[in-house]
Amino acid sequence: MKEINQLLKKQQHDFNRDFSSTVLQATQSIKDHSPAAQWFVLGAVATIGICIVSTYLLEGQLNIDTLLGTDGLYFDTLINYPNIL
Amino acid sequence: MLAINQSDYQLIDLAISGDDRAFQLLVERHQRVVATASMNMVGDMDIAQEIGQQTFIRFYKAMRSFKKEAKLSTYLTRIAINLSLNHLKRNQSFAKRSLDLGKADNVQTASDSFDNKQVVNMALQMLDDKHRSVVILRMIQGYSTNETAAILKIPKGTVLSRLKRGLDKLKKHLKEDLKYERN
Repeated sequence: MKEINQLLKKQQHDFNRDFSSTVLQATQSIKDHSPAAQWFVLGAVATIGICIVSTYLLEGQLNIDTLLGTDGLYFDTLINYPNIL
Repeated sequence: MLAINQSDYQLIDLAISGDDRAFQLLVERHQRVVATASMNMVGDMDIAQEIGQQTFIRFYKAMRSFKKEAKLSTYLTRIAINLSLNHLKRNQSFAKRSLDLGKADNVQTASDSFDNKQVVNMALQMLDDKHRSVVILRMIQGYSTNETAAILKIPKGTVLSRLKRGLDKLKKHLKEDLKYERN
């Protein structure tokens, strides 16, 4: 039994020398390439900023109506709209 | 700055922060543990190498959730053994399994007695998967009974009974094979 124990202890194996490089290469393909969350936030803030600036430049004033594009909307227009149809 | 004497946990932190060399160093450090587990389980170096790659890729994916109280070598051994068992289940028939142990070009022996190594490997493949896994973990990789039980998720008593049964069978096979080799 002692001989078998010694034989078993010798059953150590190694992979090829370039094994670690192969594994590293494989991990590159599964790496997460999506941008960090802060870039999404920055994108949303920049979009809102551009929207505000362009509204001010086009309308000459900045309020909720100009931002929503409802400053040219009149109550009469809404009432008469079904009659047009 | 990456240093050889950095602990596994330090290297894991560096690898998580995107240091590829740290991950490569972890692979180099633990490849023998994984190679020994998978090669002895499946008996074919090409398949063992595939299992080895899968083992490290799984670790790479789960690296962020790796609990640092666990020993990395034990964690990797568990993955390698499970992947090997899955492979063997898929290829149930012994006849289907490649026992082409003459693929010496892929095997870098850590022992000088390659012939005996082949014979022992052959004898290991004769064992049932459940006996072989216990013999590999206890006798080849040197894990304690408790660690083996934890890796295989079986009770301690089962480890002991499977070890005894496995060694008895191995002894029987080796007795004939080694006698034949010597003649």
